[in-house]
Amino acid sequence: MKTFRRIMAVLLLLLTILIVSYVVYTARQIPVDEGISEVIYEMATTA
Amino acid sequence: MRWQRRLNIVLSIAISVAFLLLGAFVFRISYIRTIEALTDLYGGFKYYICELFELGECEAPSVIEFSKVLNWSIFLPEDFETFKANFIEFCKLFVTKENFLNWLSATGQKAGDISKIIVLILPCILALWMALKMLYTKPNTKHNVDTVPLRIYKTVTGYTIEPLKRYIKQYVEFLKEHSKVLVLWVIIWVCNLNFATIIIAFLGYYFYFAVSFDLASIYVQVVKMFIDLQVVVKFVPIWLIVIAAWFIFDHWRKNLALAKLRRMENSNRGFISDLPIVSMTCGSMGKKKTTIITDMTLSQEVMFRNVAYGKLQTTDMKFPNFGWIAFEMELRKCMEYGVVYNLATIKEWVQLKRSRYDKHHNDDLQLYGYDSQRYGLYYQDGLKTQYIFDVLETYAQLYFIYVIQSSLIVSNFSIREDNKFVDQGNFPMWSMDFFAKNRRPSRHAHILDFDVLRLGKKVIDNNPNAGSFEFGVVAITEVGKERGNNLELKEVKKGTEETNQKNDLFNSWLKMCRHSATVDNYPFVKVFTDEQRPASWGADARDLCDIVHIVSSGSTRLALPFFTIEDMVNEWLFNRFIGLYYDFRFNRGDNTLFIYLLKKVTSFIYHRNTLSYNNYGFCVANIEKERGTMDGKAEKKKYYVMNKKIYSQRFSTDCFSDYFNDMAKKTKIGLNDYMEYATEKATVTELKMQNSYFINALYKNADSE
Repeated sequence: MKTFRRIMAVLLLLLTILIVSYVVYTARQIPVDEGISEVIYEMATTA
Repeated sequence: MRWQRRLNIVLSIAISVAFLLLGAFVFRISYIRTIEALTDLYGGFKYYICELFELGECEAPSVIEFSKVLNWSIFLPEDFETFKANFIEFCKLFVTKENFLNWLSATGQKAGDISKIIVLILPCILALWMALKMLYTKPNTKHNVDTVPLRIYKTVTGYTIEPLKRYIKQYVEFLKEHSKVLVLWVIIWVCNLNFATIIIAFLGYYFYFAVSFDLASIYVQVVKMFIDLQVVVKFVPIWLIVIAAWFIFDHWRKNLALAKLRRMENSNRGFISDLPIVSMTCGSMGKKKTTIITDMTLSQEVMFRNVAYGKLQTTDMKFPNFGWIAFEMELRKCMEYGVVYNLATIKEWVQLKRSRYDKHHNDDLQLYGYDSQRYGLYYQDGLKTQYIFDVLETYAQLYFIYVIQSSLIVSNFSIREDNKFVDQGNFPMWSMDFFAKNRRPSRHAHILDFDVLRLGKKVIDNNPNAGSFEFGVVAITEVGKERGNNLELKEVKKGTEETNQKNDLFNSWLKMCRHSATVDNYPFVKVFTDEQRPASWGADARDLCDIVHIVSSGSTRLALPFFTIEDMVNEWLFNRFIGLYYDFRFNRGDNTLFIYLLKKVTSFIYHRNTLSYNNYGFCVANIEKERGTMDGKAEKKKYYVMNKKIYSQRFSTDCFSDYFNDMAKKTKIGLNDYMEYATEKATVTELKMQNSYFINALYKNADSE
C-alpha cells in the first residue's frame, strides 16, 4: 500500500509538471498586446 | 547582558532603516501606486456617498480604470472581450496536434539539456563517492579523536558560524519579546511589496461595487491585482519567492492536517458519547488497550467541561437579568476558603442562601441586586416551574465542575493533561486543544483510592476519603486483576472480616454512581476500564458495560497532505546516510569532517521526519463494540489514535514497571547469568533446571515407578 501510494504520488507529480508546462507553453503561443508599461516603469524608477 | 541588548536595539534600528531605504530606492513604484490607490479609495467612497444619498450626478471613480503609474503588461489582456477571444484561441490551440508536437519537441530539448548535465556530473559524484569509501574504510581504533580537518573546521566555525548562530537565536528571542518591531517590519514589507495597494484598491472598489453592482468592471480589478503583484516578481529574487512560497504551502498543509486531526477527535468523542457509563476495552497485549482508554479518558474530561459550559449558557438564559458574575465570584471565594468543595456542600450553600432569602426577601444581599419584582423569581419551561434558587443550585454545581482547576480524572495509573485555565477576572475559559503548538503547564490525574468507590467494607477502616467521590472520569487499567472473576473469587467469602471483592459493594457503586454525579439531568461520571479478556472481570460488573474489542491497530499514517514524496526522499536519504555512517563506525573509531557533516544532515532529516510524524501522525484502531452480556451482535467501529494527543507523555505504557524493577534490583542475577543449553538438545539435568510443573511431574512419576 505504501509503495503504491508513493508510486502514485511520483506519477502525479510528473503529470502535474507536464500539464502545467503544456498549459504555459500553449498560453505563450498566444500573442499579448504590448502595453506602454515599460516606458512608465522606467520613468517611475528613474524619477 | 546590557551590551547585547544595546546591540539588539542598534541592529533592529539598522534593519528597519535598511528596509525603509529599500522601500525608497527599490520599491518606490509601490509607494507611488499606493498613493494612487488612496486617491481611488477616496473616489470610491465619494461615489458611494453620492449614490447612497442620491446627491445628483455622480462621477465614476478612478478605481474602475487601469493604474496610470503601474501600467505593466501581463499575461492577461486589458479587456474582457479580448480575454474571451484569447481564451477561445487558447482552447483551440490546446487540442491541436501541431501544438502538442511542438511542446513535446521543446520539452524533449530541455530534458536533453538536463540529461547532458547529469551525465557530465554523475561520474564526478561516483568518483568522489569511491574516493570517500576508500579513504574511510581504512580501519583505526583512535577512539573519539578528531581528525585534523575536523579540528580546523571546528575552530573556524567556533569563531564564525557558531557565535553568529547563538546571536541570531537570542536575537529571535529578543524580537519575540518586542513584537512591535516585527509588526513594523511586516507593515514596511506589506507596503514595499505593494500588498497595501491591493488592500486599499479593494476597499475603494468595494465602495464602488456596493452601490453600482457593475459586474463588468470585476475583470479590470483582477487584471489590476495581477499587475500590482508584478512588483513581487520584478524586484524579489526568484529563490526568495520559492522559499516564501514553500513556507506558505507548508503552513497551509499543516493547517489542513490539524483540521483533519480535529475531525478525528470529534469522531472519537461521538463514539465515547455513545458508550454507557462503564465500558471495558479488551485486546491482547500490545493492542493499545491502555492507550485507548487513556485517550478516551482525556477526551471525556474535555467533554465534561464542555457540557458544563453549554449547560451554564442555557441556565444563564433562564434568568437573563440575574447578576451571574457576582454569584460566580462569591462561589469562587467560597471555593477558595473551603466553604464549598464538592457538589453536596454547594447544595448546602445555596440552600442556606435560599432560607435567608425566604426569611428576609432581601434582593441585594442574597440575589446580588437582582430586581425580583421586575424580572420575577420563577422560570416556566413548559414542563415545570423552577424557583430561582433551584436554578442557582444547578448553576453553582455546573460552575463548580467547569471551573475546578484540578484534573477531573481519577485513575490507578498516572495520566498527564495540559488543559489551560485562562482567566482575566471575569468568566474563565478553558483552552483544551490537544494539538496546541506550545507545550502548556501539566497537571496529573488524581490517585484512585479504591475505598472511595466502595459502598461496603473498606480496606482502611474510617478512611477519610470514603464516600467523597461524586463526579469525574475514572480510569482503571487491568481491572480483572483488581476485581477478579467468579472463578477466581470462588474461595472468597462475603461474610469474612477482611475486605474483599464480595463484601466491598464496588459493583453496587458502579450501578449507582450516576446518582451522585447527575447535575441538570446529565451524569458527570464515566468509568473506563481495560483488560485482556472480558471474562477476566466478574459477570455482575461486566454486564453493566459495553465491551470494546480492539481487533487491530493499523500502522502509523500521516494527516499531513502532499508529504508522500518528501517522506520517500527522507527515508531513502536517511537509510543511505545511516548505512554509510555505521560502515564507518565499524571500521574507524575517530571522528572525521565528512562523517561530522554527514551526521548533521542525517540528524536534520531524522528530526524533520520525526516532527512531522509526532505532530500529524495517527493510526486507526479497528474496534468492535458489543454488550457486556456478550450475547448481541458486535458493532464495527473505528477509533483514531493521534500521536500528538496521546503520545506526548500522557501516560506510561509500563505503568506497573516499578514493581518489577524493585524485584529485579534485589536479585544478583541478570540475563547473562542464566545457564545456556550445551547443545541443540536439552540434557536431563538441563530439563530439570527449568523448574517446570510438567517436567517435574514426568520425573516424579518416573522416580515413583
